[in-house]
Amino acid sequence: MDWWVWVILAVIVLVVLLTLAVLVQRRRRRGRVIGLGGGDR
Amino acid sequence: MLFSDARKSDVVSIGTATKVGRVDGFVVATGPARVALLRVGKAQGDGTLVSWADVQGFGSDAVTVADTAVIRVPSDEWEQRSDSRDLDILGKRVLSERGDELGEITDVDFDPETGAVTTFITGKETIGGDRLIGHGRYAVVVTVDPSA
Amino acid sequence: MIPPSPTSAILLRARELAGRPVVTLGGELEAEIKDVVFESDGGPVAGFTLRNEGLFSRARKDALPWRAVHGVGRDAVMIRDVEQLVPAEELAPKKVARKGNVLDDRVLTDSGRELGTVLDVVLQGGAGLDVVGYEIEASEGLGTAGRRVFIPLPDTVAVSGENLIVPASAAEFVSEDLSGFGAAVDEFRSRLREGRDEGEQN
Repeated sequence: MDWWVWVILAVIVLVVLLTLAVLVQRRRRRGRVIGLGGGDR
Repeated sequence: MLFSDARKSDVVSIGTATKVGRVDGFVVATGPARVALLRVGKAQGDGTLVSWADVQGFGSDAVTVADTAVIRVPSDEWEQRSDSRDLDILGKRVLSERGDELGEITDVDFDPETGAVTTFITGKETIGGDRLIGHGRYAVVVTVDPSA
Repeated sequence: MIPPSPTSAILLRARELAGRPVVTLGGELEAEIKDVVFESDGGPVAGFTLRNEGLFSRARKDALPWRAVHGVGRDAVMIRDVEQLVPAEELAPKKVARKGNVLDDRVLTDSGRELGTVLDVVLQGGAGLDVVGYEIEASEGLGTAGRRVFIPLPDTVAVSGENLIVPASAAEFVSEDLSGFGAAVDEFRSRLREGRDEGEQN
């Protein structure tokens, strides 16, 4: 294959990885709402 | 007088009657709200700050000082931060002490005789200088509107 | 000068507070809000855990207790100074925090009827910040399956594992929007009080 095909593939992989990283971080950053002192039932 | 008018004024030495610098910015202090320092550019030496106390006169075209020696380097941490533009007030967001944003500062009105800040002007409203609580790198903090 | 009460008497969703800047009265950005922590008994907000600003930042080891909060506004949570922060373990011990998240929990009435799953928690401002209701994705049992509705909560919120128990009568005070919800909470709590008073009289 020509060299430019590899370049395009690399760019796509990079974009996918970055998007995943951002999405994972966004989900991790979602805050929780935590109730203290819940009894056991 | 407004910061927007006074910026870029010449700083003139009374001793030599020559221009010794140019007003690049203003540093506001709290308790009460006032201009504490002028940031000066195009000076001959290393100095970049002038204390308000060293300002002899503040006219619409020029600021007079005794001589070029009053243009000095920062003397403490706060002055170093001032010099770095961290504390530049134009463009800074205004937060009420309750946590609501009241706009960004577009201009400041001050008394050229005393240096006291009379009004902060944002896109949305005008805020009396007496409402200033604090200002830092992130925001200017003011009391809630007393008339509301 | 009398300091203003930290919040105005409005309703807000707890999840809106995540990511809100924490700013000192001196105008410095200290942190961002991470989690909202509340007491099950009585429902007041006990405080907030913190993280630093920036996309890839971690949770901080310190936390913001409610007593250190100067104001909760649309754009920031104001604190007097950073000396009043406490260790996060003191506000919400890790073990409790891990299990205590009510988001996505199932809501059941005390008679066993499933109402839905928790999407958000409704807080009411005043002198403090109080948990007054849940925003849930309604299940079929509520007759409005899949819809987002608000159900009011009594003063004490029963939290247990993945299930949250509410009085059966809460289902009668379901709201579809936040603006009318304040009234629904008041009516629901009056009803509970009447029921208690009657029970005591008998």
